[in-house]
Amino acid sequence: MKSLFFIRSFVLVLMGILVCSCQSNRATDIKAASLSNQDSASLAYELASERWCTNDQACAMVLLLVDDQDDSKSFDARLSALQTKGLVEPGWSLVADDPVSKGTLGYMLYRALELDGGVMIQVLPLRRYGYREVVHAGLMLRGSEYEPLTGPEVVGIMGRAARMVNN
Amino acid sequence: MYQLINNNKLRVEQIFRCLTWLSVITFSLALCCSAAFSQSGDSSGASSQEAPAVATPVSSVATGAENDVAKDSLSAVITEVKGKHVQYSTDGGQTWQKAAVNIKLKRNDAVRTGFGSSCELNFGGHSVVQVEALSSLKVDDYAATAQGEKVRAKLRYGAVRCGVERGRVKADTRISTPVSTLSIRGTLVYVEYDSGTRRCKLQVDDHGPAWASAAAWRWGSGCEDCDEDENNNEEAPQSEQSAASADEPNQPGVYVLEEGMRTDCSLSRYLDMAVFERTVWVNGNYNIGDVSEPEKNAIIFNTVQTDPGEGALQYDDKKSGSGMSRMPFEIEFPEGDIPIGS
Repeated sequence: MKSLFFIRSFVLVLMGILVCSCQSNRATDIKAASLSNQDSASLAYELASERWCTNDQACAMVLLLVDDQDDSKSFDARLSALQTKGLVEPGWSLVADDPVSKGTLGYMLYRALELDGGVMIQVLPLRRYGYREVVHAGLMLRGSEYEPLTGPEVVGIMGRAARMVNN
Repeated sequence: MYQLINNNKLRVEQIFRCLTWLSVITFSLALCCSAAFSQSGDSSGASSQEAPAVATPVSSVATGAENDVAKDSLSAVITEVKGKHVQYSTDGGQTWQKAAVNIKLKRNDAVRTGFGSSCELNFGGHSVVQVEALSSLKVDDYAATAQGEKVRAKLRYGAVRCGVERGRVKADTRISTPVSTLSIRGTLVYVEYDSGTRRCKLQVDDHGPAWASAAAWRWGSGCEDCDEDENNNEEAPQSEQSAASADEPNQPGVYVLEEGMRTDCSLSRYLDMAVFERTVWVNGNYNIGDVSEPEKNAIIFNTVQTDPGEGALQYDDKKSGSGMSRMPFEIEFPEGDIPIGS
């Protein structure tokens, strides 16, 4: 009887966990899929009123800057698309809903805009030096490469990058 | 507890059976709900997509008190659209439609652009606003009165170039951001606002339309934007005409604006080529008009653009909220409190 009690409790807990995880995965997938439907104008408009810009949103913005379209249905697809273009290093462990850091966005922009880098970025292609190059180009304010970026900040940075591309 | 359970084995069995069935039902319900939610999310995502392009111009006639003939004599028209991602909203940003040329905007309408896209708004031909890539602009108000033309626009984020003609009409155009308001009367400006750092970059064209008038007079007729009377009334001396005609690129009916040529006849083309040489930074950390020392040094003329507002939101800024412990003009009462009632 005692063992039966524990087995059934375990089954109940397991099912509860399964339901919760199923829900959160669905929510993440829906969020990622909704990003793929947006164009740069609507995504920037939304980001301008959001507190933080997530890695997923930042990757979508960079893809839109480079390709003018984002067909990726999930964050992983977005990452692999960026990896094939050489904008994201395979060793990075990025979480979709974490705020994007200055280093991550800086490195992606450095690669996307094909900025003329200094010696350090040529020798050590790290996010730290990518961020420094972008600061030097006047796209981003100084701070730390680990510093998270807000939505409006990312809109400002991407806007300057877009106008740099146009000019 | 186990004594109780042993005493009521059958009841406990029933309770567990019920709980198991309950969890199964809950699980299946949750799955159904999540599936339904995903479908509704997809449909809402589809509905949030932009409505199909409306090529027919929207009526600029407003309701109520705005049905003023004098006010409506001025219109805001989209005269140029570049790129795929130019949208406008007529309901305060709830829904967005694809913009097209000749669409008239009403008061409180907004325009937004994406990557590789820009558009141009024309207010009665005397004020032109070019909305650059990844920008959002709201048209607050525009009116033509006996005193002149008035245009008010709010830049939410991004950058605009604005040109206002001087001479033919008294135009008062204002581009405002949350940290600055720029009033433009007969010149060309560039306004860039970063809502993340609350920094605003204001640039002014150095020469302005004075030189443009001279250029238009010198090149004479051929500008299709000019009135015939304007071209014919001002005749250049024969010597200057012959000197100009040697490398004159413009023939009657055709006007080519090359770099270095300036004219007040074509504001939009002039805006495209304007070089903004005077730069002022406005920092959102401070009150409007409160210019810090680095910003004061940054009011530069005819020099390379630098970014004095660097570190606008750094916490070691003496004027930031944490550093501003006490205003310098605060009155101190060293000998006790303020005597109330005496």
